[in-house]
Amino acid sequence: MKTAIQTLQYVAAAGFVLVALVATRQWVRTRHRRTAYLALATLLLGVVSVLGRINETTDYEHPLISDISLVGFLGSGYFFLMFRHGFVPLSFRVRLAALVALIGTSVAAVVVQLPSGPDPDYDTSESIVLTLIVALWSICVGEPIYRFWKESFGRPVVQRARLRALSVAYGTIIVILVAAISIQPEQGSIAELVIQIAAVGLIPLLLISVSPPGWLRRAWRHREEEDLRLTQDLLMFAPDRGVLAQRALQWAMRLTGASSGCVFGPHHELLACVGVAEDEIEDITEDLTDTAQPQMVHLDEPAGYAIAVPLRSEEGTGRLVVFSGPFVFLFGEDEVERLKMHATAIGVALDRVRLTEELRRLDKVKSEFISNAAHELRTPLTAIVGLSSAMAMRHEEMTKEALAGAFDVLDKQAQRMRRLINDLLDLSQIEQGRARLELQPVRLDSTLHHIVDALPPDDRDRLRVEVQNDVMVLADPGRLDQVVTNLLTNAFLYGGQNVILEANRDDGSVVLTVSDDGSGVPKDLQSRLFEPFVRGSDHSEAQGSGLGLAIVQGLIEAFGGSIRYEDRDPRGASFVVELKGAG
Amino acid sequence: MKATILVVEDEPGIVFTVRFVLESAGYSVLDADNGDDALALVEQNDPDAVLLDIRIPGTDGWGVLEHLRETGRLESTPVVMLSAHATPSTAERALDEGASAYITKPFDAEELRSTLDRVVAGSN
Repeated sequence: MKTAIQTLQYVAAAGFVLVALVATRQWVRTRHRRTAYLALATLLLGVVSVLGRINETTDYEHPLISDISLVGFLGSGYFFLMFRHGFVPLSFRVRLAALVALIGTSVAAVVVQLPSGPDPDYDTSESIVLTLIVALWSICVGEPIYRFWKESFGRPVVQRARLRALSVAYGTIIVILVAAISIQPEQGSIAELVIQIAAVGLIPLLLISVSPPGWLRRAWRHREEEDLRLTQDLLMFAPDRGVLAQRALQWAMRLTGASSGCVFGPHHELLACVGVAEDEIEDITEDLTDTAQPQMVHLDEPAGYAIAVPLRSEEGTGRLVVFSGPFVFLFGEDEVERLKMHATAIGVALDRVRLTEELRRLDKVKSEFISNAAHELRTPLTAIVGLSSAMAMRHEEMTKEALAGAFDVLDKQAQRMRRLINDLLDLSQIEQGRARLELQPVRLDSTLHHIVDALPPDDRDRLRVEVQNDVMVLADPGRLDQVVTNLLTNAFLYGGQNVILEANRDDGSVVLTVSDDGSGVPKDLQSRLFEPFVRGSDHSEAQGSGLGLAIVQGLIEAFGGSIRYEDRDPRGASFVVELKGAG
Repeated sequence: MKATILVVEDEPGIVFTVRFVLESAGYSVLDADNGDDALALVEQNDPDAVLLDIRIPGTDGWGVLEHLRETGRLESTPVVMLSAHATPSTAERALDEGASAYITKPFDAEELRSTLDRVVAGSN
């Protein structure tokens, strides 16, 4: 019986050393102060248990061993308290009081020299010191049991399980130690053997609650998985990307027990963010460099660990990042795999939402277009209706000059309206790909010279032409004429005094540039320049439809080319057209 | 003495039309193509009514109306709002904010003339 109990006590000591090793390994991985406290606390307990065995086998001949054991024991209490402080902070005064009490008691214990050996007799002062030791240590290790359990309420499932596991771990430590202190193997009874077996049996529980393995973390997640399956539809049918990202992030955090996280779109734009201030995100995520692969990195406290997984959608690759917090401070490969799966589902949902958003945007563009077109038509119509109704009623009393003036304005407004309607039809046909274009090789240089020759002399004097010879492009000849004329007209109307028309071969393509030395296009207008009805504020003198550049862009794209706006150095506007070369 | 109307409108074709209609109806017409010039002209010339387009450069029609209301000018110088925004809510807002009438583009000569006749008569 005695041997059995003794053997079990050796096993218990070895168990503590094992837990200490696990905690130390965790600390090596995370380098967190909190984990260091846990490692130190369990290491001290391991040392104390081993010293206890040595003391016993040497028949308590070394009082020094007892002193070291006592100090180590009280030290473990302090570090357990500090570990708990890492989760649920304690005030500085409480920590200081604990430290002072523990040091004071240690000194008292060394001074008093508690008797050791089997069945020691204690005098009064020794009893007081012994009671103090047990009471202090019990408070340091006992209070967290209650605190962790209490903190676990109202938290998401995974965090709750983690906190309760810690509570259980502290409880286990007390049970094992009480067993070790109260059992004297010399007078071993069956009851004591049973207690000792139970104590040793608790060591695996301590081990997994301090460092929960993958299967346990999956089990904790199980209930969340069920809920997620039930609400997957809500994810898939989110109304926009922001809402989708927010919901996806909350689930990612629940599944991993993370405390914070964020979601980035394909252009690194922030879509959702929980528990992190937006201005801190740049700092936190700068370690997460590889966007294409799932990544787990260790960050400085308080964030701890971060897992980033790619969010693949048709638009590009964004990512989902979760940060471990105080309650779940360790992620593993298991969480990375789970998040990867989650990210795949979110990627599909993102594509769906993008389509919906695009449809909604197109619908809005169309409505705006119609509303703008109606407004543009109303202006000449107002003049026409107003003038014709006035003339119908009073033409007899009007002077010839007044009538002539009115007819002139009527004609101008009617022409304007006709131009606008023609342009609207033109643009609509080009956009639908129904404009009848005959793409063929066209000699650009002679086309340009013809256009320039047809210009009014005043305009021609303002124009400088720098065109290479024998430049062939792919275009519809009539429409190419329309494009160049439109760009030149804009330059003469809105640009500076001097206009330059250039055309040069560039590899397989041809670059045609119309530029001027005017004030250029205002910055706020540049991005919308080729949209219908977008005009500068001083358009009232000009009688354009507001559709010119939209049509020009549509035609050039139908030729297989492109057009862009550039500010000209030092001043002025520059429209750069790239066309496909031919021959 | 002819009543004077200030037309605030940036489309020359519409300014011509309004001038044509109102002058033949016996009014004298001033015009401004932006909100800030309009406010200056109101101070200088004390017109009998203002025909005010909403979509104009600078201070827009709403801004001009607000300024006239806050300076107490509206008491003596009624405003007729003019706009292509053909929604009832715009008309309602115009009347709420102190305009005397609201005309939607396009309007015919008779509508313009009778509205201004009524507004000018009402303020005298």
